[in-house]
Amino acid sequence: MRLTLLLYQLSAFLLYALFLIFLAAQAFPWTEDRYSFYLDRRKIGLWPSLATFCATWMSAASITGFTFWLSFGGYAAFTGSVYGWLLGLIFLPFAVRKLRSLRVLSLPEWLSQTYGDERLRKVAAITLVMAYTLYIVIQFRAFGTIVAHLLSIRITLASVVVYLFVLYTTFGGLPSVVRSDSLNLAIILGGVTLGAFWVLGSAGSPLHIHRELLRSSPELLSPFSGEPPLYLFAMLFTWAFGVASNPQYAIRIISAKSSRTAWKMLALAPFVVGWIYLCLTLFGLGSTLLFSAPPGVDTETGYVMLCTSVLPPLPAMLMLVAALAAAISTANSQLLLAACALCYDLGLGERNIPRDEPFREDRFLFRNRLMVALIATVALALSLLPLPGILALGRYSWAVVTLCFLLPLYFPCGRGELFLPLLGALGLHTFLVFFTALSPEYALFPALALEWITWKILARREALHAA
Amino acid sequence: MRPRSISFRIKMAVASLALLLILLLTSTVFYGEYRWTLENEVRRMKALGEASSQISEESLRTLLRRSFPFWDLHPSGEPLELPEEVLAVPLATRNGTLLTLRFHPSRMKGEILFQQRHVLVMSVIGLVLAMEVAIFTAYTLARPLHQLARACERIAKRKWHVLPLAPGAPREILLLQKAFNTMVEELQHWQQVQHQVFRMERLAALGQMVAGVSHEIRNPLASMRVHLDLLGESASTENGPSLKILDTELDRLNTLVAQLLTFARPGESVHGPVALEELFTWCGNIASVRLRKKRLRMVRELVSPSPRVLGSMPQLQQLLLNLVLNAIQASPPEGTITLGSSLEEKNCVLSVRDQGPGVPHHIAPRLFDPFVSGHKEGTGLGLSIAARIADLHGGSISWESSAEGTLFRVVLPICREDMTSEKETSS
Repeated sequence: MRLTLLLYQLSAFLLYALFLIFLAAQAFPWTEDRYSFYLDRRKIGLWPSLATFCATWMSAASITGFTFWLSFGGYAAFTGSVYGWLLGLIFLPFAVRKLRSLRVLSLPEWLSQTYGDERLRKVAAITLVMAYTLYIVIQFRAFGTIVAHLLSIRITLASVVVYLFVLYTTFGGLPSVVRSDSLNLAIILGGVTLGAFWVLGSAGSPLHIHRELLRSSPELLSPFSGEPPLYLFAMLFTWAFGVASNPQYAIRIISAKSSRTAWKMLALAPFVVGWIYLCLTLFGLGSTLLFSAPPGVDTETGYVMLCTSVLPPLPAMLMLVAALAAAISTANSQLLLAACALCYDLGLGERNIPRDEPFREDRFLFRNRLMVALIATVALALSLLPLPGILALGRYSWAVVTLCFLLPLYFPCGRGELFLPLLGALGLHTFLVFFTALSPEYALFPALALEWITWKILARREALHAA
Repeated sequence: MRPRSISFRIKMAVASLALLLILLLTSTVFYGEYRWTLENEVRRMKALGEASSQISEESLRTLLRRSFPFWDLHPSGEPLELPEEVLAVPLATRNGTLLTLRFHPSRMKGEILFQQRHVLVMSVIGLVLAMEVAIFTAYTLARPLHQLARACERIAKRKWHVLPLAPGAPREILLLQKAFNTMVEELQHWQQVQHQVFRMERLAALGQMVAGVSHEIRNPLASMRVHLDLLGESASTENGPSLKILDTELDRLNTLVAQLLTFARPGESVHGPVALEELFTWCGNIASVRLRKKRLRMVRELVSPSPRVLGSMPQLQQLLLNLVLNAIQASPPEGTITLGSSLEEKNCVLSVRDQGPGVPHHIAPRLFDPFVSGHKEGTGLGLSIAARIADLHGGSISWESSAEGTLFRVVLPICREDMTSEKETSS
């Protein structure tokens, strides 16, 4: 049995790795420029767009964190996670026209072009590099834990494996990321569906699971169990605003073939991510009846234990590979954006290259790949260090991304000076998180309010001045 | 059949080699482990066989369960249909019971696989890495070749450019890139030479035609001039304006014909020392009316002592006048035209700088060709005559242009006597 399980897991890993490698290799272009590297020439069709959008949406933290939270925290996981994520999705259609109207390659560039201030681009780019590097660390850790279990190896070695995977899939730019994301989404969908059906077969129908939970642990059915409601609401809105202003999704809107494709992608995405959440919910709740994790276990290990204890080898292996796919799809997307911010927005590479200079473009893209490797190496090093607060830093990074893009994208206060309000908000948030130990979710709201009020005042003053 | 790409071949070769190596290594490890475990088991079983007569059946069963997981115990009388490779060992216990021990190789293989799972895991990781390396290697090697092909396509479209040498590229690729860049430079040079030869041939043909036509036109024009002058004396006052127009137009035609003839046959060139100061003074006097008309200022920046060039005075006057007239036409009102001279090795450089809008891009490559002009009224002969005169003097003419103005530089050989005296002075 042990051997069968190991062979299953090894085969699954090998198959996944080979598929990923071959798919990503197909996207390595002979001729490329920054437009193809960052945006795949804005010609991504509906299905690939949908695949990459949804695969990027489902991070390893979402799959492992949400499932494990459900299994011990019940419906509070909905309030603190899923509702927020889906709420954020509602904002995105309003950004389609704005984002696509300018021929930009990155969200910081959009910011500077829309508000006519190059400093905004720099601040946003620095924030993105920091935020995504921290977030990639979380993906590396999740992947490392799961691969360590799958292959019975040390987490250090497993993290190096993920590093190689992520590096490899990012080297080809967005075309490569999109292709690998299609495979990743298929695996995520297959894994969670099989896992959910298996658990339903073992634990009974959803109604039966609900009744059993009502009988055995009714507190799990409360939407506010485990955490204070205020904190859960703060989390909900942090996720919602984070999703709405996350450059990962903005870049998928920009790179879609047309605005129509982008809208269709956003219209279909809730069905796909909804299905994944439904399956994870059934799996998470059903598994509480079948297995209880030992106390004090971390999320990734808890998820691995849940899968291997509740499911037979084949579905368990698929559920684990689904988490790997989620980690890869999020990490490579973020890595590409961070490299873009470093090279293109912060000007580490040549910005204005004429169209008929392919060799200068090559040099620029080579620099991009070096940056991809550098950021991935830093993230790998951080993931191997025993940093207990790294997960909180992940939430911090989500909040600072919100501060950079939420108001300019959805609630602009005129064309007035945005740089100082943004800088003030980022400063206040950092101060509250690091000097008053306020959680990043709580700190987001005063910082956001400060940004909005100061921007409004400056815009009004500018309008009066102009009049 | 479409030929396989180099990239595909590299990928296949590296991947197959990696797979082969991994299979070889893992099978060697597993086979070695299998042989060792088997021999060990047999040895242990022999020892057990020798000692079994002193052990009770119960103890024997417990011992087997704990320490001999690959063996099963069967009563001796039970018929066993065993394959050849399966060992069966008869045992007699202290109680006198006869038993047969049956060995299960598949169980042992499974256990070995599990115990050596790290070998399997590392093989899988190694295979994945090898695939990544194969793809990267293929990409790294094939990409410069694709770049080269792309560069060749661009050169076929006459877009000259050299390939940047990648510092980390393999030597062979660097050699190929260097060879390509040399070829591009040679091709560029060859194209320039070809262009010059083509231009000279064209100018020669044009000169012959222009000389013939101008000669034929000049005689009727002279006759027309005589008759117009005669008519002017007897014409009534009401025909005066028409005759005035005829007179102006006839002058224009004469000037054009004279220019065409100068372009075709610049005339006898009696070369001698020509003082630049004298040349510039003459030119300033001739152009003074036009300069005043446009309120232009002429500045002279002459090297001191003013050198003399070896050439024909009338031709050099024509050259300088053409450049100055061109500068006057290009300059905005109240601008400045700068005439200059300087020394460069054995040559003297005359320069004329204006503050005009610069040479239009569309005529830049053909600026010294006849009948090419940036002005509507221009004949397009002035600069081509200047270039031809510079050529006849063994010199050259060049230009630089920007939005702030245009600079023409004429390089002419310095008078030998002046050179000698200069050397003497310096020594």
